[in-house]
Amino acid sequence: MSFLLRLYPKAWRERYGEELADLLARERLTPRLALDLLTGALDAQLHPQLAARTAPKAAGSSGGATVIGGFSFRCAATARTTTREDLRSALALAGSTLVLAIAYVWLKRAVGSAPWVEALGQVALFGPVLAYSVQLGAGNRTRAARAFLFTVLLGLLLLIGYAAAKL
Amino acid sequence: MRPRDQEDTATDFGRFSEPALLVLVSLAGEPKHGYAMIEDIAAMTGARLGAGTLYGAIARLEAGGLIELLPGAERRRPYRLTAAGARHLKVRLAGLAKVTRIGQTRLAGA
Repeated sequence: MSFLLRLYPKAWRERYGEELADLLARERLTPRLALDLLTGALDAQLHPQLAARTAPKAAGSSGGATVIGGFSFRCAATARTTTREDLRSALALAGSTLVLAIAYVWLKRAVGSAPWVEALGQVALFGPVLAYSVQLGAGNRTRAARAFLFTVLLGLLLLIGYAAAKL
Repeated sequence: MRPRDQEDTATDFGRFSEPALLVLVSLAGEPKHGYAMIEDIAAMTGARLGAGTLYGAIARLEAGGLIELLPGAERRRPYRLTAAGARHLKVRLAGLAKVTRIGQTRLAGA
């Protein structure tokens, strides 16, 4: 059953993985429990900051799950913490979307509705999300590997946008 | 700084609200590790919490400072209620007791 734990984010596994594995070793795997773990993993993927906020106490832990830079904001209304990295990602996502959208509008005025301009419009909409997804899913891969993956996906997105505009 | 009562009622655990309350009640007796909590909650309510739900609630309670790991514990790690957790639990139980009283009074008059 421990294979289901691989669906949890790394920081979460570092913090709670051993305890959860120990618990699961004593539970019988039922479809209900499998579904519960799947939804738990989805929740953990959506809220990785929960595991990152609590100090890992496992022996031999790398300490990578602590709040980045020891810096966090506390939101009084929801008791939710935003790390410096969260803020940087959010600003980069919002900023790049705005810049690309403005570039698209400017090109559309200057050049007109050429297929490649429409393809750029698609990149303006989905490119930053794509970049963020690559960043999120890349794990420990090198910067070059991330850049390669992002370029391939971006090229695919441009092709789809170009083909859609030509239809 | 917010008053304690506001602090205690402001913590919102969304769909983990009920499991989080059950974990707090379970830990109010004595420190427990995950499996012991599941067993205790099953004895209290007749329902067995799933491991994913349990650790979703534990992570939120720990992040909110309402429970903490006992120092020095190994693989089977026990958690205990913090002072803030005990205050939070008192507020939640008082709220539930009020609702129960009102419900019973209304049912008696129906």
